[in-house]
Amino acid sequence: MFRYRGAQIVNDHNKVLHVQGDVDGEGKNVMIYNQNGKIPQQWDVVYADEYPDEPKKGELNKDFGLYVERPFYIATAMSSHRYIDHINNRNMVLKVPNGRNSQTWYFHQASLTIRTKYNNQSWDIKSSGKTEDMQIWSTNSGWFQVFKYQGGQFINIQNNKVVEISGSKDVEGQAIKVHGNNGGVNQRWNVIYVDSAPKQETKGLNEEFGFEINRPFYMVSRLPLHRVIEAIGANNLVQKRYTKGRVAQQFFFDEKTKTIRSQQWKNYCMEIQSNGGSTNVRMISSITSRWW
Amino acid sequence: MFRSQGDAIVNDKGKVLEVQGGYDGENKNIAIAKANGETHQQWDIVYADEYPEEPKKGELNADFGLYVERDFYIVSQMSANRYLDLIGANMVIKTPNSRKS
Repeated sequence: MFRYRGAQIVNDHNKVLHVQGDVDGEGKNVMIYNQNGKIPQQWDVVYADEYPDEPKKGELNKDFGLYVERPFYIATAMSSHRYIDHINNRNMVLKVPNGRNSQTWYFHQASLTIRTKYNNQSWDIKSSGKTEDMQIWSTNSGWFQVFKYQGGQFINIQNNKVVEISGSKDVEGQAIKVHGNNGGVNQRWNVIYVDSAPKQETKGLNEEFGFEINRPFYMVSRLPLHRVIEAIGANNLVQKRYTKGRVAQQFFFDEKTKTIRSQQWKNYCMEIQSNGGSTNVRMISSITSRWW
Repeated sequence: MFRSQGDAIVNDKGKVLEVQGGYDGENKNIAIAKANGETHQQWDIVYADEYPEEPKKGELNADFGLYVERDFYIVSQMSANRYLDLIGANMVIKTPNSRKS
């Protein structure tokens, strides 16, 4: 027999209901244990007719500080304002906004996890929380997948570590990790809901990249004849004498993907061949906005 | 991803666009390489609507110091002031002779 006393459920031998292992994980076993007064032994009894409705799609989950299934970007508070992204379908990194849905996240009420729009996998501390590396992984709602957004930080609900830019290096492709909360700016994030995000610029200078958006340009060599770069058949890049009106010699900067695109073959961007493993530079139609 | 930084076009790893081989030839390949600051790694971004018109026939090409398609003689500054001429494929100096060579 059990009695509800204070915040504990106590049996006749004065032992209490206890979450085994003290870990707030989905499917964790509940057992009887000696009283120690800690949170794994504390319970609220909520009558079924008074159990509050869970927030629905579009509503704020106050405990987690996020709206349910309302897509958002996450921008660092560091100066670049880069977004949290993931690469190789796995590792979470920092990248400039590039319009890919790997940078779009949403809070999933049923699992209480933050998921990527890319493939609906959830944030996850690698190796079931035994490391500090952040990745996306199949949803299991383990404590190492559950974070709340509070005071500009993403805080793990079990170990209270916060999501940060590793080493405070505000650079492209830098790893995202969890770490003890030190209040650093590399641990602070702005959630930008997609439906209220500022409109993408369609013209003007992108100061970080040094190009004017969507304005066709030539890349003119400073070698003696000032030849210009030309795309040969939507593939290779060479230098050639300028020819007036030849659009294969013109390029433009695409703000969405942050790539240099061909004015003639507009769906092609400049890239280093072999995923950056070559020295050759060419145009390619599969645009990934990766470093190469 | 590439950025225009100063006179270089730089990628995220700090490497730059260059004319492969380092010399100014037509159809030379464009490659990525470690920055060395040399001219074959230097570029100007010129927007298409601001690209300067090339000099037309009869106009001076300021870079080359010559007027476009305006016939000229080339006169030696040695004492006889002979003209540059051709014998076969060889260039020689000769007294002015009104020949097209």
